[in-house]
Amino acid sequence: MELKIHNLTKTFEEENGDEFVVLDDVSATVREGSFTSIMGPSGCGKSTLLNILAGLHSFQTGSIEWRDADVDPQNLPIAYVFQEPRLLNWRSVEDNLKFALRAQEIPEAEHDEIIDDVLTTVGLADEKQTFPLRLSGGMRQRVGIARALAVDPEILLMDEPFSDLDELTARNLRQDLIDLWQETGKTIVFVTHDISEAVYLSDEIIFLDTDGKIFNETTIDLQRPRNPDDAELLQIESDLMDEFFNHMESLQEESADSPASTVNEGDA
Amino acid sequence: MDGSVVDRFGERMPVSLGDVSSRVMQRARQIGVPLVVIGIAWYVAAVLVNDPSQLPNPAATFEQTYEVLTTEDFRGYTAFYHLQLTLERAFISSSIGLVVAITGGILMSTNDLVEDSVSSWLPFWMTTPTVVIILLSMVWFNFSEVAVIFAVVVASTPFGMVNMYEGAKDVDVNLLTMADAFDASAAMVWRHIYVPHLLPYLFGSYRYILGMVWKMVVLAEVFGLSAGIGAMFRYYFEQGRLVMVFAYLIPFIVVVLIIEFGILKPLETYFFRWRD
Repeated sequence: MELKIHNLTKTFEEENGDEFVVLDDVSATVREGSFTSIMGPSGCGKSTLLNILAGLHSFQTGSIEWRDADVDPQNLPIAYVFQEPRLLNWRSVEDNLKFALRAQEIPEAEHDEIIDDVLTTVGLADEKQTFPLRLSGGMRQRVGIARALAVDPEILLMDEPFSDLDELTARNLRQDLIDLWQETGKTIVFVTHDISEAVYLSDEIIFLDTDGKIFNETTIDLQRPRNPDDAELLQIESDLMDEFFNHMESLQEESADSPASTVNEGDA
Repeated sequence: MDGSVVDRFGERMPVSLGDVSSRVMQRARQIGVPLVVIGIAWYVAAVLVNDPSQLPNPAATFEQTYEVLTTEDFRGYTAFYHLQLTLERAFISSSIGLVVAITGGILMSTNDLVEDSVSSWLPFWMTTPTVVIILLSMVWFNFSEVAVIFAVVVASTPFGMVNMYEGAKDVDVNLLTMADAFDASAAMVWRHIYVPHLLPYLFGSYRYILGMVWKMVVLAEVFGLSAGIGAMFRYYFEQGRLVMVFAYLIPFIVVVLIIEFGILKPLETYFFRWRD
């Protein structure tokens, strides 16, 4: 069973009316139950891809398939963990979770049990009545994860959830996320621009380039539990970065050789 | 559950209205200290001026305050009646002003046509002297209750409206995206995002409107009405009895302080306890 993305193209209209291609004929497969990262430089369209899967962005061409059937992304069984926790600061931790549960029309009678379960899972059982601004950044991000888990999604979409945290907190949360993923067996699609994070966490990594195309798909075939400082893991990171820079260089060369760029340079 | 939580540093933080004596003491200090300072300054100034027709001393004023509160005036009313009238006018006009400000502010932020048309004449509206508005209103509405309310609403609303408009524009788009990602209904988005987000702006607007309303209602009463605290100010001012003006002023100030520190501040503390 898989989540498949077929020939997805997404363009934005620029202020001058030109079309800007964010995702160009992107096709990828995410195995059910896997931890898949989408990796690439800033502005490559990885968050846009995640937003499309979340039904937050439309797309021009292509299709999404889930468990062998075409689906409207609006109907994908997802929950989203954002880069910033995006909590309702005026609601307690419990009420933030209830917001998601009510939005998903999960019966009220089940709320208390679900909330206790997910808060225990993320280690915040004692913070049910706390307001978000009284929590640390890492704890707030845990609430964001708990909110996503509360609606019991099949697929967890995570958009650079640890990038705003200090490295020590982020490292702890990565480990917790792996434990949680192994415990729940959910499919995780994780966006990051951090190669170390991607290699440490993932089964598969999909690389996007600045042209909005996939240029590499890699399986990280390392045993778990992994150690972020493991030599083999660091070697994989290094090899993947080499591939990435080689690809970016070739893109730049292509761009320099193309007639359009010659004209532009001439114009300039 | 005892109405409090323990923060990361082990401090207990109050979270409910009922929590209590330390807050009451803090309020008492906030009100009491300035009052004592003003009282002393007033006494010293009265001694220096040494002319009760220019500045009556605190003791004489409080004596008169007691008199006007407990005995009927030449029309058969105590100061309580005049206070009640002034408060009713202030309450009605500030409530209408707030409703108009909220509606206008939200309409401006959601409808381009309203935004464009209101924005262009808002500066004119905001800079028209309030005295002119009161005088015109008195003429148009024949020195009636409606005249006061109309004048106050017209003069105080634009500031509240701009405040609500700025608030509505400033809503966190990230939260709206989050709500969208969880398929929250429009009603949920309003209840859990827009309303709590707008609440501080609403409080700010109400505070501003109320601040203007106190002054304007009294001014309108001075200009054209026969009852109410402002009318009594005019009556005794024309007679040159400044001590009576002060005597009516004291209960008025006490009521304003009670509303501020007894109602608005505790409500604010409760609604915005999540910021602590």
